[in-house]
Amino acid sequence: MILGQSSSSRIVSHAVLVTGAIIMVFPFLWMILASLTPQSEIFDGSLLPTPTLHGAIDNYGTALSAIPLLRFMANGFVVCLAILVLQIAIAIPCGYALAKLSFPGRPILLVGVLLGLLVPVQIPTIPIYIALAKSGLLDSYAALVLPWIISVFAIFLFRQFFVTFPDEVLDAARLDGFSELSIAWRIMLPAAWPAVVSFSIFSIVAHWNDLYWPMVVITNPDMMTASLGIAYFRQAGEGAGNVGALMAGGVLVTAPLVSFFLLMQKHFIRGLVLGRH
Amino acid sequence: MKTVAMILAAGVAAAAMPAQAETKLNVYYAWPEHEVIHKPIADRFMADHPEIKISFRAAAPSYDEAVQTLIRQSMAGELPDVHYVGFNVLRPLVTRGLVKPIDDLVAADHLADKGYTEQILSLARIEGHLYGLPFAMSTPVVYYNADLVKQAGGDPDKVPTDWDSFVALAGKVGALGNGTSGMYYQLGSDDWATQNLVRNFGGQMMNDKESDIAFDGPAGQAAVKLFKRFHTDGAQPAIDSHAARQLFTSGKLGFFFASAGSVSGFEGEIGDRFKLRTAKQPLGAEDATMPTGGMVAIILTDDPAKRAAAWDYVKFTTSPEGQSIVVPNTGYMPTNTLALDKDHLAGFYDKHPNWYTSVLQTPRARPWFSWPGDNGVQIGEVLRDEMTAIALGSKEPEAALADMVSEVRALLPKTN
Amino acid sequence: MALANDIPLSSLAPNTAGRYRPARAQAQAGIILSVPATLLLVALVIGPAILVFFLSFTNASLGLAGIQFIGVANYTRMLTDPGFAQSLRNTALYVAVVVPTAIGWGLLVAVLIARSRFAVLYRTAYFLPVAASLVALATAWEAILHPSLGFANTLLQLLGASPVRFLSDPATAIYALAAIGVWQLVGFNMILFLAGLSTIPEELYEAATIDGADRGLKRFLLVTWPMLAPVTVFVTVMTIIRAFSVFETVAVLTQGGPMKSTSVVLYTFYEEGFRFFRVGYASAISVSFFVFVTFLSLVQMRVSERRARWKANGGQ
Repeated sequence: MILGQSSSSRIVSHAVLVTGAIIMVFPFLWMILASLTPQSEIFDGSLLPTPTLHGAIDNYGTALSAIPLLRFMANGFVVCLAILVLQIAIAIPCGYALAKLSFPGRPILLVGVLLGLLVPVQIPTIPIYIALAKSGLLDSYAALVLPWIISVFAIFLFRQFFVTFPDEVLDAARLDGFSELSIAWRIMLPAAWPAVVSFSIFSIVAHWNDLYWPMVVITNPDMMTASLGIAYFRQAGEGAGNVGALMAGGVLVTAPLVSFFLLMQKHFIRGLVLGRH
Repeated sequence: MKTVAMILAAGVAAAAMPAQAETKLNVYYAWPEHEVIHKPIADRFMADHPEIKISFRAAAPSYDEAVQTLIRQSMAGELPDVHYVGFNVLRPLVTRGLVKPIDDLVAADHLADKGYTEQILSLARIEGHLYGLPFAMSTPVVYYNADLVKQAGGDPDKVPTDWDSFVALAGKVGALGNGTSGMYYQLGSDDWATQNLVRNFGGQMMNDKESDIAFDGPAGQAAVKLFKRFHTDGAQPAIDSHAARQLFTSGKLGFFFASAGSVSGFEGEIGDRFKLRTAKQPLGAEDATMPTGGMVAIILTDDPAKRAAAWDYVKFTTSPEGQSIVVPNTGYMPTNTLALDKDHLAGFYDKHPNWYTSVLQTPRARPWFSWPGDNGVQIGEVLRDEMTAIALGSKEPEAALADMVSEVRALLPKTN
Repeated sequence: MALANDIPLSSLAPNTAGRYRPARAQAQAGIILSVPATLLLVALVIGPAILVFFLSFTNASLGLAGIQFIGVANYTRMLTDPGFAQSLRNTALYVAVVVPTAIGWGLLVAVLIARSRFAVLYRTAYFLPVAASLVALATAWEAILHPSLGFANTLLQLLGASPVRFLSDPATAIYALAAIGVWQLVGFNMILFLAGLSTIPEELYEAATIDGADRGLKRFLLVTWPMLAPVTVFVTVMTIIRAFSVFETVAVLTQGGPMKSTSVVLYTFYEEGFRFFRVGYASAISVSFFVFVTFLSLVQMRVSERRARWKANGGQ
């Protein structure tokens, strides 16, 4: 109960929510309808595209045959997963050390992390690009993954999460002979699970949607990620004029991520709530 | 499926042939929609040359983007072996030393007997050296919706050849109502269309010595004023070309100016929704010329084996056989005169008059002017932005032209 | 997890002796645990950032050998470059629209949803854009906003209004992009606010009721808003950073046009660095961008924190 309730305020609030929700969902609806409508009828002056069976077959057929969409999605999946796993593997021990261990250099590292938090992710891209180019790593998974495996945001998030973790538990674990490393992995990681879930969503959304970096380092179609692939298809002959096929591609690329997040939504919110205690 | 087929094919090939060193060629081209010509050409070439394997990079969205990608890749030592470079951006590649002359290869072959005329080869010649073989050529043509023209009281068989009557007719099409617009003069992603307007009044972008710009003269003045009239009198909507193309293919636009290379694409998108036809551009002056759009096949590899293979490939793509794939599937004009014989394209043009319009314009075709210095791409953007300002009515033509002049001067190399 | 290999296996096994680790061992462990992150932080963030700082004083060009130190020439050029001034203005405009709208709307939705019977349904609807592939959905928006054939204009004409050219008109293009930006961020902010709301103890509301603030806006101002202060700071900083780094919609839909009306700072940076190869100049842009965003985030944090403290003190 955040606001008091009266039936009129309830109606107003529903009206506000419904209007907003329609705006939120409308592009999806339009995309799905257009993906099922023959190309020639999408812009025929009617308010919404009218789906037909042959339109659907045409559009999805084109989307799947004109470009290796499944390959793009697989690339995007591999890249996102690799980035995420490495980010967490590197950030958890560091976050734990920063939160709970006193060691020489800790204050400097903390300042470094805070500074890193302020550096927009695009700034280091020119030197990194040159380095990748010189080492012949462009057009590879390495080029897509490497620059992102350090996430200062993750280190910061996990550190904040660990700071509030009771010291007594850690001391008890140490008394039981746990090494600091095994504390990090066997105690802190499970405890940080909600934060891990929240961070995963941040990370996956960012890298699945990222167009900037793939645009810079990828020219080989075999290495394109889903976002780059769709941007490419949009300019390609069969995509440029063909809104129907393009929308079919959009539906295919959007569907897995949307369903995944709808499933994870609850955990996500819980992670954020717990993360704040 | 594809992979399985490839593995099977490879297996069959391996079984059928004695072991042979395979040369791999990596090919890069602009305009993703040109896959429809590059793939079949490569397939046919590989069928004849089983020892050479062609693979493609992701196509660049435009000539300019392609060159920028090449420059980036050259840094990483990852240049493709063969590239189809836009006529306007061959020069920056030569200046940067990314492409070397092929005079030695040409000397060993008798190109003149194989249908390559000196006039066409000159499109790939810079300072006396030949850098590649022209692969496709086009001029800007007028695409029009014959049904709308008829409705507006025009004669679809006789599109006006002077700008006044043309703009008036476009205005009438725009007045038909029902969301119909008159015309769209497409500026595109580079300066081709702007050069075309200046040339249409007999002008040039720079003087012959390239010591100063020349587009600020009477021809340029006339060009920008005409471009404004397209919008004020010709019912050209001020929208982006993506949106305009959709308008045209949906039958809501009378005239559309674009490269002849899009004929096939337009026919495919429009189908039988309306009668699509093409016409020659109206002319603003007796000495009107047109920039030749299109591309040159160039060789970027230094490796002797690859270079030899690439030369075979480049010759094949520009041969009558290669050209008979290019022309019907795009709308470009052939760069090889032998392609016009009866075994190849002779009958094609009779049956497809929409393709022939560009050929009729060839006497006026000239090389697409390439800007000296490193800023050609940005100069193209400046011109496009100022023209857009005219289209939107936010600048008067004279003011926009004056801004073009000062901005372009600032981007040209300071030689004197 | 190459990390595990660096540490003797024996130290991993729980020690039955139950020995408490001295400070020295802790220090050692701290260093080992933070070394990979430290190295990568230096190699991938701080080092390149410093390099960019130095490059910004040179005329470095991608692919051309020979770098010359040219002092602050890149910065003076930036200050006199009308193109850069325009991209700053566009970015400021974009941020000015997106940040308050995305935060205000997200907060409103969160507050209203929290008491709605259809919470799950609404939450899902608002969350959808967050999970979508932006490039794909941007294309859907482009079709919806088509200057003459799109849904938005068909609707406007049915309602008797004249059509708007949205992405084709320099007067509206940046707002159209901002609308798409808001659309994508609202759900994200809503989720963060919802998480914040769920941590507010019910007793506070009961106390507020006793104080006479039993409903509506009063209650919101007295309890909800001050209690949400930390979340609001976080949401604001995140939204500012994301609004400043808008790129995808520009790159896909307008490429900075028409007439540079949507060329935002990051897009200009991309063009200068990776299309025109002016690495030195691009570096100067990114350094300024960094200074600007940092400054703005700090100011914002200060203001929000002071406000939060003030409100909290006033409220209790």
